[in-house]
Amino acid sequence: MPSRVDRRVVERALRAVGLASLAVMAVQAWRAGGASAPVRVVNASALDGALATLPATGDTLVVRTDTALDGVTTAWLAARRDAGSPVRWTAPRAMTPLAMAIEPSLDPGGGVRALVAAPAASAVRLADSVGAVDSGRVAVSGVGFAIATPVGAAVARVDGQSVRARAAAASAPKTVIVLARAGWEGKFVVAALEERGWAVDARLVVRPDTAVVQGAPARFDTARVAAVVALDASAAPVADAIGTFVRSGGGLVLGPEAAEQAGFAELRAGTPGARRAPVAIAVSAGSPRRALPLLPIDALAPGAVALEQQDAAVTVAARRVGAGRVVQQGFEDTWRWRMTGPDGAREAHRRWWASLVASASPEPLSRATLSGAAAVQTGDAPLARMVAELGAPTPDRSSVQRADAHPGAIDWWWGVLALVALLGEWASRRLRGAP
Amino acid sequence: MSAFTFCTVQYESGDWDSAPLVPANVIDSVARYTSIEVNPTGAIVPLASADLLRYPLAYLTGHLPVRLSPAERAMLRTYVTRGGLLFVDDHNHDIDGVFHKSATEELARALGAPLKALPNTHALYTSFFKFPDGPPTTGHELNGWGDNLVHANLFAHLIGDRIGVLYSSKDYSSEWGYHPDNKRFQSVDNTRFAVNIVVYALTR
Repeated sequence: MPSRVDRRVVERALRAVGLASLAVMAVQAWRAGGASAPVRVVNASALDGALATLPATGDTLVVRTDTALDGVTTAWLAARRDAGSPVRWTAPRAMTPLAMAIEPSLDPGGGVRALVAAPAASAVRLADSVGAVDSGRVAVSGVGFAIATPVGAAVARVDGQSVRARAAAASAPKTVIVLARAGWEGKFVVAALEERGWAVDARLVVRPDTAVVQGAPARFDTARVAAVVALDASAAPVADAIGTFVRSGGGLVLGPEAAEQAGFAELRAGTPGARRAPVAIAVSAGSPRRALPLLPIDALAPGAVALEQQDAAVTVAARRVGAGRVVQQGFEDTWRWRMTGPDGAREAHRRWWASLVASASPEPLSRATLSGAAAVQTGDAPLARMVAELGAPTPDRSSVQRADAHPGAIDWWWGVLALVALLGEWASRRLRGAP
Repeated sequence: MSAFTFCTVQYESGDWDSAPLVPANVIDSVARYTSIEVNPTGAIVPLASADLLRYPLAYLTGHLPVRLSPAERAMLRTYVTRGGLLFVDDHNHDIDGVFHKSATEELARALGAPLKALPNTHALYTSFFKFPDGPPTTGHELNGWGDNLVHANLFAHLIGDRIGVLYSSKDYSSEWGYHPDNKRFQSVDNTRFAVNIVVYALTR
């Protein structure tokens, strides 16, 4: 049995604990007075229903999502935050950043280019309203698809994330100018582009003072001409005019010999290297260009990007010059692909040249502006948009729940502790007969 | 860039090599009048060989009846479809000769349609030198040799506007079959039309 003196000490201790607990509760209650706004934690899947029921202002809204929100929802949340109601979002796991742009090809053969940016080695699946369209794997930072015009919006999916984009209507194709010496390469490039549907003006030089002329190949006018194809040194005398055309918004496709000319040094995407013999003897369907002589693009100009490679050599590269684009390719005698290749070589050669010209042809500005009004844009990056409009995600979901589910609440165990301590002190006193 | 190579077609029937001096003379004229890079020697390629596709302009001539094998017909179709131009010249310079009858028949069978007269306003006649009256006459036409006719037109198989097969009854194979050095004895070079054929093939 503890002595009467010991019991008094214990009773005082219990009273102190009880009062301290009450003091803590009082502080918590005082703090809670400044954060009285209620918090709603909503899963993204239930967000549509919650939008209508949430009060216009006041509540702090925490959106829990494992996929990037669509543009309309993000804009709604941003508007709510701007109206005075805090909005935050949290994700249970890291989201894959994803972006997609859809560009209508100027190729008269139709189709679009879908450009998807995603982390390296990501597997990208592309679909439209009808079904799967294509798939590919990201090499460095993105992957491009040349596809038929999608039905409805195109959807790219990577690792559970998705992004949607819609193709704008393509404008009427313009003219392409081909400049070359009289020879098989010029003849068959003109043929390929014409067969694809391009209107081609051409100047094929037979001797220095004589050329076979088709159309008006000296009128480098961006209103009329989509791109100039300069195949060889015969284009050098008009390099300055072509440079002006490109800087004004025109496209240029440079062949390897043309790229070697000093007049094109400021326009080319890179410096042509030493000529390499074909890697393959015969043109094959799988890798037809390995059977062509190549002048690899050795040193890329600042801002230029490699579009195509053969082994470690860059074979096609592009860059922007002023308002225009330059696409440089390094293969010689591509006509051999069309003439000597297997079945389908003519179509493949035609497609390849048409794609080079389409890549070099800048999109009209008006079309990009008009497409911005559509609900589904021609390009989108949902995660980047969320971060830009709503801020970075709250990293720890559990801390968000603790802090936000009951901000300013009084912890219940302080009350239990106070009750137990004070009851114990009161019982001890009564048992020893004290008042 | 590859240089132009004049190609003579070798076929299994007939005498494909009846005009051996023509290639050198045409090559000389191309080099003489244009800056087109041209190989100094021509090539001889069997009609049935896929190697023919390496030469988008080819020359075929002879005196004797022509009968093409199935493989030769198939390659001829492929060649023309892909963009090649076959120039066929009747070395007999007549329209009732065995070469003319058999060659035109074989070409029609291979291409699926008979040859048609080529208008004398066609781009072929202005592709380099100007021939406002159409194909130039040959000495053999004018001296009464053969069928004693001056043939007003050439014939062609057209793919759109492009000539896939050009057929001549004018005997250019005889007209151009001499050593290039002997051009100096002529007041007007009679191989100029050959340059037009080459330039047309390289540019259209």
